[in-house]
Amino acid sequence: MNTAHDRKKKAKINALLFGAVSVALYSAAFYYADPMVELYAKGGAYCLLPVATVFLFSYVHGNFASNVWTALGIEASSSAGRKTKAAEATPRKETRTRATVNA
Amino acid sequence: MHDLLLDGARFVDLSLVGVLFLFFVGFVGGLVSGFIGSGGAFVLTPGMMSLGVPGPVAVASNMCHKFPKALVGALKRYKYGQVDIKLGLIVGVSAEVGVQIGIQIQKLILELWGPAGSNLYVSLAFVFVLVTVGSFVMKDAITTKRNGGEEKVTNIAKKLQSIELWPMVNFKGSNIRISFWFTAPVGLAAGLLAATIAVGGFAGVPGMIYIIGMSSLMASATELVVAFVMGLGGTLIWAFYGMVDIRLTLIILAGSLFGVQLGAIGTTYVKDYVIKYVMATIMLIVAFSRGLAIPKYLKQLEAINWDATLISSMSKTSFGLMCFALGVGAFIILKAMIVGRRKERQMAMAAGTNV
Repeated sequence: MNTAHDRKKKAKINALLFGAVSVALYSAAFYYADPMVELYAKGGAYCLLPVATVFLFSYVHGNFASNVWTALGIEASSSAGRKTKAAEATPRKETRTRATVNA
Repeated sequence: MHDLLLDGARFVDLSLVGVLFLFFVGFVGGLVSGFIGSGGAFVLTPGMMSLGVPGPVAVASNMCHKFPKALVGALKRYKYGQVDIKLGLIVGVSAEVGVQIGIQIQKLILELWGPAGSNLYVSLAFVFVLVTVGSFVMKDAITTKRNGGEEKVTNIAKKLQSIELWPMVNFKGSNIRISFWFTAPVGLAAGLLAATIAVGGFAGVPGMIYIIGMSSLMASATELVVAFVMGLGGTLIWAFYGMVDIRLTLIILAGSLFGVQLGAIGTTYVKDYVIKYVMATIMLIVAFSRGLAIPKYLKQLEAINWDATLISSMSKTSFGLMCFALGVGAFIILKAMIVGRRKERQMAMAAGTNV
């Protein structure tokens, strides 16, 4: 069973892993800040660089942040998602007559 | 813009205080954004400019953090079943068109009346739109709370949904079938507002609630998809001109990714109308704050002759009030979340289960 305790434990490990990668990425970005800023400001086709960078950071740092909240026990309400499930259409019963073959 | 491109001094030196300020505002902006679908930009852009960052670089760097933040928030809220991706993408594409129209209007005003005229137009749009929409949303939030907290689809949305105008679009996520031609104006308005005051969600979310007929929970979550589409398109344009200061973007992103996920979690503990409350409160305070900035531009246009010290203190109060608006929003969200969690725990303990 996936209890709150299990989730917290797993999140702590993930938070440490993603946290370490996030710290490494941020350290690298600020260590090479000046050449990075110059390169990214060239414009033109270089416009893909900032986009790619923020995607990478949002994946790593986003996972880190998510796991930190879970490790701290801050999670969504257990009722989350129930509303949508209730709103889904109920499957229609098959009422049409169907041709069958009696062997 | 080309002159600015050639100017090597457009990227400022960052102080520790500046970094901490951006991180903190990024966090609070993210929190509000994760909850109501938009917000934060109205403090971040002037905040960066007060640190010495040129306007276009502040706007570009802000926008570059906006779309990954919106993506992370949208993914989180998708897990809770709150996002209508199809609707978000359709409104998002219409919003891109709105942004382009908004930019042309801005250019025209800049040519006719110069930077002060442009700033005056932005401030007037801020005050007019936010007071009108904010008052309406606040009135609706109060009525909904009085009626037991259950949201009802507006009559106008019901009427629009009943009109068969090709092409009709089915939105399974929000269980709505409506003509594309009624979703397009919502996107256009969001885009126009985004190009004018940088916060398109203040038109997008109310539009999705009152015109398309979504619940506030779904509308605020779907706005994150719209923000992603608009933010990605806008970032590519700004980055094409080399205006993104990646350091600023990454600092704000560091704070906002924590905030946006907390805001998304917060939506699962509150009733739908709380989203309207937070949005309307922020809109009304921000409208008042921008109102205080108007005399500065009127003086620049030589329309009034007020004392310079008075105008300067009004401008400072205006920025302070915008920070206050964000703070009030964050306070309501966190308080509602803490109360909601406490109630759920008490119920779980009473039922003897482990949540």
